[in-house]
Amino acid sequence: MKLHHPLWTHLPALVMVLLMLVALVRVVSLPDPLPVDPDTSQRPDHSGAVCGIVALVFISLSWIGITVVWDELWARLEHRKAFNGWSLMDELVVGMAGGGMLTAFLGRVGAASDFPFSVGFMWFIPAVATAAVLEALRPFRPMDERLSADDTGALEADIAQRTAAGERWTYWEMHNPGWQRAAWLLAAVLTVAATLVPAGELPWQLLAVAGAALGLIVLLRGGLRVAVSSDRVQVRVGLLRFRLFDVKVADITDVRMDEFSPFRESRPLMWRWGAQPRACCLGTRHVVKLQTRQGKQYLIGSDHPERLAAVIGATLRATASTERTEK
Amino acid sequence: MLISISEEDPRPIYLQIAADIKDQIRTGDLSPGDELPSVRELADSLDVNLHTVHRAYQKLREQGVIRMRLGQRAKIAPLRETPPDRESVESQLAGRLQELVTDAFHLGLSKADFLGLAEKLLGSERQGGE
Repeated sequence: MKLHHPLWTHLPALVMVLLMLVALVRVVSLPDPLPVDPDTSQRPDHSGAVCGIVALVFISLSWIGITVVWDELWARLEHRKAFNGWSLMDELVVGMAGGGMLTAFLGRVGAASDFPFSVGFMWFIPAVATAAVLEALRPFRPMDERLSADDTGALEADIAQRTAAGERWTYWEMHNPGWQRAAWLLAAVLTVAATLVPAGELPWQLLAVAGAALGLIVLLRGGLRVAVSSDRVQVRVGLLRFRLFDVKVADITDVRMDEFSPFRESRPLMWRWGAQPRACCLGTRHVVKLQTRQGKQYLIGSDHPERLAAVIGATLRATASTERTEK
Repeated sequence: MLISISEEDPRPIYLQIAADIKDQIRTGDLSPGDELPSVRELADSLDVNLHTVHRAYQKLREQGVIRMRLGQRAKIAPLRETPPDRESVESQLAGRLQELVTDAFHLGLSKADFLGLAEKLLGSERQGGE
């Protein structure tokens, strides 16, 4: 599989993990119990099992994996090169968790000693700085999104004919890319896993994760659904059919295709709500852009943006034609 | 997916919806595995009663055109390569064809014209046995 975000940008994080492994191999003895969960006073407030040290290595590798996936999605969907700050996430986490905690605990501090945050900074700052340079140097390799070659003329003629005949019609499509389905599934697994922990021992962190996972399920399940009728364009998302956009056809003055970088230009969950243009786009660079009389702009992601644009355009023309006939 | 209903059409609305979906499968606009809007979404879009859409989907499920599972959207079922009960299907279709043939006769359409029309409609298929 061709990667669009080069793996060598993650080298600093991988080097950190290698150093962690070397340090683990060389250690003579580990403090038992292991001091964990330092608070802002730098005093550890909890103790854990010694095997937690080894778990840090696996957690670090997991973070690298998550960042690789995120960066790949970012690179595939950007329509112009932009610095991806999220690519530094693995260096940040691995550096602090691995470097600071691991070297601090390798026999150098006791259970009651202060947590050496300064040691952590010495580890992750060079790693993050190196990763930032590599990210700036990475090549621009967007995904080659080929628009469908289908003839939209027949669809446009169909819309015009049905509108002229006075029929009630709706054009419906769904935009639910694979990564979103995977995110929903992961959220469901996390929620179920959280329920397996006995209630009395449920830490607040796990509750927060479970709550966030439930929120993802509600918000992402089912993807975007776009419904176009002769009088409005509606975009809904999630399990509860949350209505993102509801634009009257009579208010639309222009419809066209446009390009968009969903990972860079809209966060979180690939919606942009406050700034103009408002956008909802999950996994494609080509979107349909609507302009309204009120000066608002909307970007709608679609698996077949050329067809969606053709439908909305045909609706606009049919509506204008009907108004002229009535006058 | 494009679905329309007409007040002028003498058929009940749920039959119009079902026929529209079946026609889009025949022409290839919908393919096996494609998901359909939920009952509520389609009812809202077409401004019809929920039960009307539900009845249309039930009809399609009975005919094996779609599959419905609890908690999931209705999906287009795989196309049949052979009829499940050939004799029964032919008997059912023969009755409806007889009605069409009779109508064509009374409207003055010749046998050749009728066959030509049938071939033209069959030729608009993009999938399914071709």
